[in-house]
Amino acid sequence: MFRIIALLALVIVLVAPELATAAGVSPASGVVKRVLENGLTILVKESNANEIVSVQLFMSMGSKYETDQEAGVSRLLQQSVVKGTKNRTAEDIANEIESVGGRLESGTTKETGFIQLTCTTEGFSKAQEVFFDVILNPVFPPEEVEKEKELIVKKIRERKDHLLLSALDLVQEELYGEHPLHKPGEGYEETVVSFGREEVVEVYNRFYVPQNMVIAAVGNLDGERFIEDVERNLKVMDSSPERPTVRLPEVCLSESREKLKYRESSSVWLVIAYSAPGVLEDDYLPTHVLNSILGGSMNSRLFTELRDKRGLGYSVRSLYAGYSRDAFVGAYIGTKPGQFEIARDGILEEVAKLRDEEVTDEELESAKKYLRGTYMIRLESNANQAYDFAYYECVGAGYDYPDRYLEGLLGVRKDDVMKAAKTYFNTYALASVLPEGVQPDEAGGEKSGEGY
Amino acid sequence: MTLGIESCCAGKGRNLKTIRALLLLVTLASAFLLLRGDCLAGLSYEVEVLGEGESGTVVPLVKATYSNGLVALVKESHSSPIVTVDAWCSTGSACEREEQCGISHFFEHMFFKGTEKHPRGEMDRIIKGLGGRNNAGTSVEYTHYYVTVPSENYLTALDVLSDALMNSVFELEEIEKEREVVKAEIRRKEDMPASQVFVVFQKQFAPGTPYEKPVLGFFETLDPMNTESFLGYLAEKYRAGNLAVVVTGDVDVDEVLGAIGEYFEPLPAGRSPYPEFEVPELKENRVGFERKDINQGYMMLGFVTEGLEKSEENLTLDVAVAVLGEGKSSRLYRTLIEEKKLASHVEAWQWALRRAGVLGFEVTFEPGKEDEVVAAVLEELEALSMNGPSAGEVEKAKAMLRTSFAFSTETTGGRSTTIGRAYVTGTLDDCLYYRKRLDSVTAGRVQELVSKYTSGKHYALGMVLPEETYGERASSEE
Repeated sequence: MFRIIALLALVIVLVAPELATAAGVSPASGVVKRVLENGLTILVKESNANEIVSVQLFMSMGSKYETDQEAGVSRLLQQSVVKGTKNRTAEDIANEIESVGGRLESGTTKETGFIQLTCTTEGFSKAQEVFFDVILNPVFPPEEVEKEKELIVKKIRERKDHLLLSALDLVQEELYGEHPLHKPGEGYEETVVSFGREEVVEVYNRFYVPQNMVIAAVGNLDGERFIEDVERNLKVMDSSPERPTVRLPEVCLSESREKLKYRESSSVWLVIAYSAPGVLEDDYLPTHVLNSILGGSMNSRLFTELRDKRGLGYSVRSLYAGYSRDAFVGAYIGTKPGQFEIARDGILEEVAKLRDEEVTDEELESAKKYLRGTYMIRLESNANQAYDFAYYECVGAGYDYPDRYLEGLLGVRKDDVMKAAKTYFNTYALASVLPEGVQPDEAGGEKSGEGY
Repeated sequence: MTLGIESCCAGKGRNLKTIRALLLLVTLASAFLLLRGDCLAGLSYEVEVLGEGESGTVVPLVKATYSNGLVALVKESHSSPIVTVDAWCSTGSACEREEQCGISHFFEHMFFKGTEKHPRGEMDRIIKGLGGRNNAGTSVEYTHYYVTVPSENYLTALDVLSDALMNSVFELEEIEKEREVVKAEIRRKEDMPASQVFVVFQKQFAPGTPYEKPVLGFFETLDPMNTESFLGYLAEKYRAGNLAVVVTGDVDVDEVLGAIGEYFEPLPAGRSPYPEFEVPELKENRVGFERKDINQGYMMLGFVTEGLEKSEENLTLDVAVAVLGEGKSSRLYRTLIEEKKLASHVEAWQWALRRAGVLGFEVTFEPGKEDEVVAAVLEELEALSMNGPSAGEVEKAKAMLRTSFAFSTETTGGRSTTIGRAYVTGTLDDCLYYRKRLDSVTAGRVQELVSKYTSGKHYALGMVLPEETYGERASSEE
């Protein structure tokens, strides 16, 4: 399940902005929004197509709100928060939720922390009691915090075994420099082992404040009753602490940078990243469309040129990390040993073409159509709807951002896309994890020879 | 959970089962096609409604059997303006001859690369214009191709999908390029220990049978494949009796059935027989491993179970698997992660194939601790075999399975995958009558099955291990 969540988090981070709906469809229109006196925001949408309910709590936290010394503390908080309350042990929590068929997962993105509850309608009222208890009364037993620290360290090592994720982490270190988004969400082994229970309690007090909390529920539930339940349970939270804020340095890459990490591997893993606007910034939608034309689908330029025409790799895509500000757009490929330069130059060539030549009307229209269509498909799921409403509300875009996204895509013009390409496709950060000692001309991929 | 191993769509999904068909009749000569006005072509078909009167997201399910043997399964729903068209073929790596290893998957890659009616560029253009997602997956016993689109485009999707299924031309130039892509996929997997470990495991659990072969094939078997190889494979496997077209979502059943009858009219009748083989009981514990430059250890441990052709055990094994590994309150999570702190990830699953299955465990563990992990898993299995699960555990497992089922059938794509996989694996009844069948599973039966398959039985073990720690282990054992 962890793996699924990790994967989900990755997909959401990388692909979340690639989501979209058919004309006239307005996913947020059925949402009821209520803000409690203490500042906590509740969003509810009833949907009776299935017998299931998804609830998502989002708060600002994560790498973006951590100093380098604090790297990973939000993740530790999120993993520990479900490990014991005033009323329940860790085992009780798991047992009670799972006995009614529910699942309670918690984690972070780079700028948010979440707790998600998924359940059938039948088990929902029991499961939500545990959900509220976890939010309000965690006790962070020291031995549980220690266990979670060890688990995070193992996850950090496991992530390094996944060479594409490794390359993605590396490229963000290169691109972001001093900016807090350079850090991996799990933090570093050195920082994680340095935390104790006090740090966890301190960040709980910093982030679990009602002004910083958005709870969204979508599914087969009684909306008014849910709002009352949230209010009854969480109105005791103190309204005085303010939302956490952070001052962000500019992401500034005065020249392109490349970082190669040699490692035993069967493929060359290569990621190229450019800084790009976040959801809250100008040019987000045109850049998003640009990303889609470059490599967002199986019909994109990278896919067509590098995979279909040249057979350079199986995984060839662009990606857009959908942070609220200071995002990045980029591309990755897994190709055979010895082809580092060919693959890099191939990607850079496609980027340059996009920057220097006009996109066709057909490409523009099909990218917009694709983005809208795939977003509509994403929102078929209650859990995704709850995720998006809560996430966008939490980061300041508003819960109805999905509607504006769909509408806004329609208005993206060729000039906007061209302008975005010229603005953002300049200096890049590149990271590659690749095997040592393969000459570029050894197309067979045998490991011999020396150096690059 | 039940395991559905697929390449491409990385699918571990929940597998459900099936088979009773609730009557209903109607033989429609589907001569009246709304789609293309004057066109009166089309196969005739018989319709049954399955699972009528049941509640759930996959019922009632309309099944049509066409005159050439093609089956269509349609689940209409209108909560979103979206349709998934998903074509399932009963072929996969187990259905290949020795020298063809990997062709099912390579074939799947050659899909959408052009037909006479829709040459490469034209096909690309149409698919781009659909405004949705398309992908495919190949497994040991099935291959499927799916398109999820806004409902107004679904007939176009059905048109290109059927054309590609029947009339792909497999130009050599396209084959050459795609061969490199498939090889890249093999290399990619080698770089992902959590995936590679399955390939290592497969070699151990059913030695000498088609189940031991990797879905992706080998470089040596892929190299000679050419246009004739694919045309031959197409003619042999992609016949009406091997195919099921699943359509879910915002459609009108009659319109869909008529359209399928029209588009698939040229599809040749007949089916290709499943290969003859038995999966023998393991005579010893079989262990295979690879060493890599990695930080954690990855393992798959599995016991051979009876195949779906013989067994009625599917949902009972699902419950056993959930008791052992589903959720943080499960036995293996508590033991391996919480108490012994040996692992960072544990998952239990069953993988049900026709001639055999696997009751399996996947663990990501601390370097050097493989022996302790295996011992801990065996201990939990022994305890479950001896004493069975508690009533509470069984109820909890059922509740979690019901939730998983509800969520996995929430979307049109989820429903088509669930229905299609259940159909091609012969377990459609478990899927249609899920709740009832799950309710009937007892603690005693769970204990019985776990004991039957694990007590005194040998296991297959595949591992991908960090380089230095295996050395340590080997020397510490001396």
